[in-house]
This record gives sequence, structure tokens and C-alpha cells, in this order.
Amino acid sequence: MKYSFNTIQTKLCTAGLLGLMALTAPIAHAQQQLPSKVDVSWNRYYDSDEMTTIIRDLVEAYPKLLTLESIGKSEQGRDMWLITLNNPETGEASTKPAMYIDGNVHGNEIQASETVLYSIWYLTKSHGKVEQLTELIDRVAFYFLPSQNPDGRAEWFANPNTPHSARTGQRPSDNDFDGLLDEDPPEDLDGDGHITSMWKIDPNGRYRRNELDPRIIERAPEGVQGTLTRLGSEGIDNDGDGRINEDGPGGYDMNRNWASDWQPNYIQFGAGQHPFDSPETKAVADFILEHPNIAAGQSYHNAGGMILRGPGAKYLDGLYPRSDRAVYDQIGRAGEDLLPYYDYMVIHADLYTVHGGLVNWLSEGLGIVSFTNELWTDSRIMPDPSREFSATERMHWQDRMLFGQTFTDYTEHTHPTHGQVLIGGGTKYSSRVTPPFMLEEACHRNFAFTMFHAGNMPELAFKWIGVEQLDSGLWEITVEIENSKIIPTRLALAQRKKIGLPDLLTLDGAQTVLSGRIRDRHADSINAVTDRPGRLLIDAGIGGQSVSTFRFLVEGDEHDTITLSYTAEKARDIEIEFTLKAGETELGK
Amino acid sequence: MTPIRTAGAGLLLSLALAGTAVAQSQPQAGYLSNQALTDTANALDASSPHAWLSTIGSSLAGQPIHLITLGSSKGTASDHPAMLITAGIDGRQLASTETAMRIAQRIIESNTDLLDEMTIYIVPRLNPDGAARNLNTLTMGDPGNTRPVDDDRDRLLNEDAPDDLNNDGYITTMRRLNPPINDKPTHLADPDDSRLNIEPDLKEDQHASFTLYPEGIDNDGDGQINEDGFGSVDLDQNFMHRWPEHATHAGRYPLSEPEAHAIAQFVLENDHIVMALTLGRHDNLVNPPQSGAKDISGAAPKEIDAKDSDLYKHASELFKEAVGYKEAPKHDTAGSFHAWLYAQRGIPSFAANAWARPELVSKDETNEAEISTESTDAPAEDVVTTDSGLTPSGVGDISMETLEELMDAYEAFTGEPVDQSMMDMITPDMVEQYAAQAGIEIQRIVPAAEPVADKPKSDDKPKKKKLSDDAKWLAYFEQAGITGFVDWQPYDHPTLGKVEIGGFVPLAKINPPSSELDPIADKMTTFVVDLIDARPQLSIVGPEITQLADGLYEVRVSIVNEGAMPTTTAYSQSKRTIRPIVLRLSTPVDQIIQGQRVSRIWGIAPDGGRSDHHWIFRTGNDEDITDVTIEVNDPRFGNHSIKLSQPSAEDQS
Repeated sequence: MKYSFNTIQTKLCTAGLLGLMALTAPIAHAQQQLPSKVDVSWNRYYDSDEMTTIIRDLVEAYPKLLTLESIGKSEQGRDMWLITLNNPETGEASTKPAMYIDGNVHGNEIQASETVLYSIWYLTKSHGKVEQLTELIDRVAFYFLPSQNPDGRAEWFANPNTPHSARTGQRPSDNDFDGLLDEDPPEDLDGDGHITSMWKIDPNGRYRRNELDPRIIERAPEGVQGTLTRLGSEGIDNDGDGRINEDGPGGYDMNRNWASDWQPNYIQFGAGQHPFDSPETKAVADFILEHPNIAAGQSYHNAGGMILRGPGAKYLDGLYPRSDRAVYDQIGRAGEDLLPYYDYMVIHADLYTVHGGLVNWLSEGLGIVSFTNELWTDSRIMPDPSREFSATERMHWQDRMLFGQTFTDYTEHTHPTHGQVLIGGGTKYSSRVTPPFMLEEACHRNFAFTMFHAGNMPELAFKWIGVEQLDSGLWEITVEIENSKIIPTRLALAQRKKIGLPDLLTLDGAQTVLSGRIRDRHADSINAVTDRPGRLLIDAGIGGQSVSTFRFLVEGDEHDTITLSYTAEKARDIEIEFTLKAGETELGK
Repeated sequence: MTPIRTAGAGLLLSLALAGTAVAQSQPQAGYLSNQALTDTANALDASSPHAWLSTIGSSLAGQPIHLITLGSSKGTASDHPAMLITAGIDGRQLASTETAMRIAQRIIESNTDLLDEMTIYIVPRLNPDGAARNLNTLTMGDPGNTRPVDDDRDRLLNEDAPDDLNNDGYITTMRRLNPPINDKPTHLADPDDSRLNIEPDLKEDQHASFTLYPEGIDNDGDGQINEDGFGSVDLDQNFMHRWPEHATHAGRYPLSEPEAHAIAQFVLENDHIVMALTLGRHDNLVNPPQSGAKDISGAAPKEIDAKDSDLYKHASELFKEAVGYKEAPKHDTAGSFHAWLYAQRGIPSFAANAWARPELVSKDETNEAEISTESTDAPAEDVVTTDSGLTPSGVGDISMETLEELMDAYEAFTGEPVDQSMMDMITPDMVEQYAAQAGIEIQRIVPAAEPVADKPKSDDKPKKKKLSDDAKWLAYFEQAGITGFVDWQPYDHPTLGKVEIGGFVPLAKINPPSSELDPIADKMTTFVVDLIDARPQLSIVGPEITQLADGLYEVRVSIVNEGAMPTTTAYSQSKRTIRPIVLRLSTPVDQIIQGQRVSRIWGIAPDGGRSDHHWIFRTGNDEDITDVTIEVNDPRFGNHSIKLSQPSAEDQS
């Protein structure tokens, strides 16, 4: 970030102004009854068009804080909406550390978008009203992308689907390698608006319907003749190759399309031909690469109740240095407290192997502290989440809580190739998706976690300056710079892999003879830089919740005006001006 | 040079007008500028009904990236299998471009009959911006394009470029003669030839006396010299296979560079490319690629799979026979174009240096032996390095053991054995899902430890082994009358004090005098023709039709590859990610008693390798066998339709 205050006076002035605002603005102490200019119900879901309306309404209602841009078009030509939340009175967004928050890269993982929208909604209505959030908004910037896969989202809402389908983007592809594209999708044969399951009525089948609850299909007990054989999901053999539903829409995974540890399809299913070969991922990648001030990242998915970090593959286990792991752990464990039933996990070790995931690219490619939250866990529906529960128990719970809305009863149909079949089962809302009445709580808890994450993006301040006269024209200047937040200005990985640019501490106003980082203000020994010493490059950055100390030997005259400025990609620049005079100055925040 | 000859005087004129003519003393003298390349390519297009010029995209600085298509006729180029010849990926490899252009010229002059069998795509200069830099300005020999890169990461761009301190027109090397304490001497003058720098051999009681720097000054005062000159992305590190993420010149992501993206897109859009030859800094023909080591994922070969060793050995023999090169430097292929073609596109992908230093007439046999040590970098071959005792399944890094466990679980669950067609389609991702559902712990093929990447060999810091090589270069330059070396001259350097400036001229070891380009192209063309002769050649054997009963038929068809090369690499056949040949029987699926209605062929081995197909089916009530067809859709060799007919009485016997 190039922006810096001209003098320490200006900085104090601004701080004073903020303080004044804090005093005069009506700060609500209770967060209930905090109205937004845009009424949104958070107990229902919104398709791509409805989502766009909410975005436009919010941007119109809060024009100072919100800026809307389309960063590109999806495969089917939908806009990729990106909302910047920034208070221009405290500086351009690019001068502040920023958090990137997206969701719904998998089209079926719908509540990710509501969670992003809720965050914008809550922040905007809180600015000037809720002290903590006002301070946060005034200090940092946010980039929100509610849906990374607007086509998949539109498809999931508009057409019959399962809880798992429409994960992909909607570029036609040849999933079964027969030279034809998307030629055998599933069909909603029973007309219930969902793709459910099909069972062949078969006197030699090994399955049967449960006698007490005919919605349950179970294996016939030993020695008992069954009546049903599993066929798979609802549909016909459109292309006459003897298989059903083997080449539906799309068939790739945009969360395997990112540059770090990208692997080809034969290693990582869904990877695409090369990183960023989808217009959606390319648009997002371009945006992120153009914003090196992004210091934190969150990508919402469903489901499982997880706060995930990389690496995605076992062979990259050694990639995260110990000090970086400590940063992730501190934030991830705080998340476990805010998100009951969620577990903080490492992708490859605790979930499964992922090559080329977004969160891996952010963390490992770009040195951005990032998590993926898997929204919703079935544990939430059980009175005792520590216990395993059966599919039957789950269905009964859904029946009682949702009054059977997530189940289509089995009905008999004539299938063109399988004759008489039963069609029915869980609808697309039957799993993965948070039950609507619980959605607002899920949005809020995840929002609170990302605000904790965002609130811990680096914040720098000059803490102490000591000046000593060594000889008539030779001075020793020692300066302490504090980062009061958890996230360092540069992750250890960034230094190790030479990601991004090193921080830069510049001294102007006197001739610098040598400079360097020292252990603390009392240290006598310095590992001196003598080439270009007035321009000290600091690849290790300023660690989280710590103070770093630097020393300059300069030639100058008493009362010369000295300017020290510190620039970091992922923190706001700071600058201080003082006159050359022996003594110490403690600097408050 | 042949292309210019056909272009005539107009072209020579345009060369002069373009003002890019390089001083005769430069090694680049007589090489094509970008404008001259465009003119030559246009002239080629105009001169032959078998050549067309187009572009596959533009460079970062807006130069066209030319594509020359050689084919039997313009409309049918994509109907034939194709060979792709790519050159000029590395901006220093000017001779590769010259060679590619001359191959085109020679094919349309005397080998147009080949074009009835195979289309040839030639991208003579993928990196025109890099070529321009190496042709037109003082160069340290930078391979990349014009993407600005902050090489020394000091938040300043391109602030410390080389400087031609002695105004001799070259950026060479500086020997700092009395280095101070903080600049430990690293080299001494070779006692056998004081022009050469060697590292001290303590056994010989040698002591280093000077340090080496590239010619220039510390423009930005950071204590380093020429550490941030042009800054660029090396296109041959910008592709997907083993992309060296975070390497300074690898680009921000694979295909981040428009040049790399353009040719990758061209390859992806042209499935009918069945072989590739890349001319430039990489070689896998003098030294066939290694087949033991895996990449970091453990799921892909570092260079090639053992199953393809014979293919590469065969090509290597053809190359050595036709071209005669005996040595080629070995570089790490991480992120290179030709490695991607093999690892992810299933294309037999060959790479060669355009030029190798001619062997001097030397009677010294020990000298020969010394040369051969150059190629011992290549490790032992054909060792599949899995140290887990598990059997690879061909499905990602999943072991066969796990797949079998999964198949058992499936059968226990459904009561039906796993259909082979399901196994054909299974992916690592699906295995992950199913294994999680079935509670099976996945046992993976443990990747072998990644061998330490080959360090690029620096001319400035020659190893002991390279000593004789440098001496040979000197001798060669002298004999051939080439300005490949600048004698050391004293110079007063502003920060280093007393230095000598001299040493090898950049590019002189890469590009021969232009007079050698024609003979090189003759030999390379022979190799290209030999490769085309070895191409995969498919034929359909059958159909053999037997009538088993009224309206019930048995049909057999075989697809045979009579060529000396496979249709796709054996590796890609096992991985099943390249578009297969698809056979489609027109009979409805419920009338097929045996065989698949749609079958896929993932590749056919060379030298009579075949894919056999067998169906038993009923014809419908109103149909007879003559209504039945078998469609063969082949992305590489085109589409064919097999008509079936009623077998005669003899066939039935």
C-alpha cells in the first residue's frame, strides 16, 4: 500500500476525528432492533436473480460504504458481482488490509451466498451504531463475492436437482468420454421438482420397503426375499448407451481449478485443462492478484461443520511453518468457540485430499491466511451431537421439524428401460442445506467468525523511538514497531517462498550509514545492512502480536527533521516525523 | 538461407529497412528479426499451395505468434493426424526458429507427399519479444518474455540492468582481482589456459584468487550487480506439469503468459496432434528421458513412464542416425512445454537442441570418454519407485489393493459384481467418496522422494567437469573463426576496483554462425520425415459377421495400428484422460446381447497393436443387418462408418 499519512500530526488528527465520531454518533449498546435500510429475511433462500436484487438494494441504500462491480461473466453470461465494503473517509480500500469473502463455488452449496449477503447486510447497518464493527469497518476493507458460481446456483434453484448436483459450473462437457456433451442428464420422472432415487421393482431384489415406514428402503433380512433393486438417481438413458444419467450438465469442479498444487484430471477429478480455464475462476483470480492488500480469506461451502485450512495434500504437510500454523490455530480455535459443532481441521489430514483448491491457492500461493467453512452439520439436528445417528432418526427429525417437506413419497412409474420402478426419497433440500428456520443463526455465527478473522489482520503502530548522539554528527535511532493483531504482515511461508514483496522501512531526512533489525531496544549488536541502508527491506515482516525493533545509524545535525515510514502489502502504511534530538518518546496508539 | 532465397530481393530489402541487422561480429548475425520472420513466413505462404500462415495469438508486447500449417490442402489440414513443431520458446534459442523455418521450406520443396498423411503445424517463434531482446540489444542471455518481474524483490522494477562497461558490444564477465575480505574468492585462472575460470581443486593445491560478476555496475546501490535487469517470465517454466510455483521466472500461475496460453489453447483445440517436436534448450533425444522418478504428487512421472521408454529409445535412435548429435546439456524440465504435452496431453513429445557444437577433429580417445560423462546425469531407468509395497491401479495414487477392497464392498452391498465399464470411469475423487461411504481406508501409492531438481548450470561458475568443455568451446570458436570469447582486459570498476572484463559471449554457445543453419536444417528435416514415417497408422480389420440364428448376429471388428508409434502414449492410455476413440453400434442397447453399444479405445500400441471388439445382437423386427452400422469416431484419425452386410454362405461355414 502506497498511501501514508504525511505527518504524525495528521495521524493523530484522524484518530481524534474517529474518536469524536465515536462520541457523537449514536452508539447502540444493545444489538437487537438494529434496523437495516434493506429488509431481508434470513430464514429463506434466494436464487441468482433474487440475490442480485438484494445486492443492488444494499448498494443503493449504503452508497458510501458499498461499491458494486462485475468482475466478469460466468460461462452462461451471468455477472460475477463483487461488493467492496470500505469507508472512504478513512482511505481508499487499497490502502487498507482487506478480507476477501466468497461462497457458492459449488452451485448446490447455496447457503454460502446467504452467509456472504448477511455479512454485508449486518456490517452496513452496524456502521456508526455498533462500536466494534464501526472501528473494524473504518480500519479495514472487505471484498465480498456472494456467488462464485452463479450458473450453478441458478441451475440448482430453477431445475430438479439433488442436494449434491449442480456442484459444477455449466460449461458443457463430455463426462463419459463418448464425444458428446451433457447428453444424458437426470430427469424428474415423478414431477416433484427434485431428482430423487429410483428402485426397480424386482421379485429377486435384495431390498424392500420397511413395513412400519414405507419411506424407508432397507436391505431384506437374511432368508427373506426382497422386492427392490437399486437403480441410482432418477432419469432415463437419453443416449441409449445402456447407462443412466452418466453425462449431465457440466461435470467439473471449480474448486480444483486454482494454481497452487493444481493437478490434471487423472490425479484430481474436475481440475479442468489448466488453472483458471473457467471464466469464473479466472475472473476471481485476476481480482485477487490485483489486490495484494488482501490479508485474510474465507470461502464458504457446505456441509459438515468444519473450519478448514490447507494443505490439501499430504506431501505438502511440511509447507506450513510452525509460526504460521500458530496463527491459523489461534483463529481456527476461536472459530470453534463461535461455531458450536464445528471442528477446526486440516483438509488433507482430517477430510480428504484436494489439489488446486481456492483456499490452498490463497494460503500457499499468495500467503493469505484463509479458511473454508463447511456450513451446516447434521450434528445440529440431534439432541445429543456426540452420538452417531441413523438415517431413519434423521428422517424422523426432519418430518417433525419440517413437516415432511424434504421428502417425496415413493410412487410407482413405468420406466422406458427398467419397466416398473419406484421413484421417491429426499428432495434437494433434504441434506447439506441448512433448514431455513436455522439459517439466520448459521449466517450470524459464521459472520462473527469472519469478523474475528478480519479484526486480526495486521495493524501497525510506532511504539517507541529512542535517539542517541554517538558523536557530533553521528546519531543512533532505534524504533519499535508493534503489530497488535494475530496475523503477521508477512507469513513465514511468504518469506520462505518469496511470495509478494518484502516490507520496507525507509528513513528520510538524514544520511543513513547502516541499519538493521535488532533483538530489542537494549541490544548492542546489529546485523548491519550497509548497502542502501536508508531503505531497509524486511522480508520477515512484523510478526503477529509482537514488537519489532530496528536501528539506524545516521549522519545529521541536531534538529534535522527525520521521517520514518513503514510500508507493507498487507497492513496500512505508517509514517512518523520527528526532530533529531537525544531522548526517548513513548508513542501511544 | 533457404527461406530468404525464395522470398527474393524484396525480403532482403525489408530486412535492411527494418533496421534490425545485427553487426557482423555478433553471433546473431544473419538471424531473422521478427519483421524478417513475418516476411519469410508470408513468402512461404505465397510460394506454396501447401503452406498457410496464421497466428495463434500475440505476445505480451503485441507481436504476432506465427503458425505455419503445412498440409495437403487448406480445408483438410485438421482431418489428418498432425505433428507440432515448436521453436523459439526460449528467447535465446534463435537457431531453433531458423531450423523450424528451414524444415518448413524443405518439406514444401521436396516432401509434400507426406502431407497427404499428416499435417505439420510449425510455431517457429513462440517468444518473439524474447527473441527481439536477444537479437537487438545487449543481452546477458535472458530466456523470457517482457513481463516485468522484480527479480531482487526490492520494490523497484528493472532498476539494475547490465552495462557494457568496455563498450565492446557484449555483456560478458568481470573478474574482481583483489577481492576484499567480505568477498571470498571463488575462482582462479585455469593453469592450462589462463583465459578460463575454474574452481580451485584443493588436491591440486589450487587457491582461488578472484570473484566473478556479470559485466555491469551496481545501478541501485544495493551491493549487487545486474540483479534486476529485464525481469521476465521464462515461458518454458509456465506450463502445468511440475510447474515450479514461486520460482522467480515461472509466472504467477501456469499459462499466466499470453504466449504460453496461446500455444496451450492451440494444442487443446487440436486433438489430432499425435506427435510433437520442440526445438530449443531441452533435449530428450540425445539423452532419452528418465522413467523412474515421480513428480511431487507421486501420481505422475517426473519425465516419462517406463511403459513409454521404448518409444523414446526408438525416437532417439532415429535422431542420432539423422542428426548425429552426441551430447546435449540436461536441464530441469519443470513447467516446460514439451513435458506438459507428454504428461497431460498423451502426446509423444520430443525435444532437441537445434545445434550441438561440432566435435573437433580429435584423436584423443580419452577426450571422447570425458564427453560421455556429460550425460550421466540421467539416472537408471525403468525403476518404478513406490516404497509402500502396493500395486498401482492407474486410478490416481489409489492402490489396486484399495480398489479391490472397494469392489468387494460394492458387491457385498449391492449383491452385484462391479461392471468393468464402471471401473473404466472411476476417478480418484470417486474413490475418495466411495471409500468414505464404505468406511474403507484408502491405501495410496507412496510417492518416491522428489529428487533434488537439477540446478541450472551457470557459465560463470563452471564445475571441474565442465572445464574441458569450456576449453573445447574455446578451441572450437578459434577454429571456426567465431567471436565466442572476449579476451580479458583490465578495467577500473567504480565499486569493485580492479577488474578484468572478458569471457564467453552470451548466446555464442547456443546459436551457430548462420552459415551452419542450412546443413543443420537438412539433418533435422530428415529426422522429421523419419518421425512421420514412424507415425501411428490405423486400419480397420473386419467386420467379420456370423449369423447365429434368424435375426441374431455375431460381429467382430479390430482396429490395428501398423505404425511404429502408438496412437497416444502408453502412459495416457493407462490414465484415460485423453479423448478416446469411440465405437458406437447403431443397434439399440436392449437388442445387444454381448458387448457395449458404446466402447472406448484409450490408445493402440505400435507395430501391429490392436483393439478387438465383439458384439452379439439381434436386429429389430423390421430391420436387417444392412441397417446396422458401427461408427468409429476418432479425434486423432477422423471418423469412419462401418456398414454391415449379410454374410455369404462361405462365411458361415
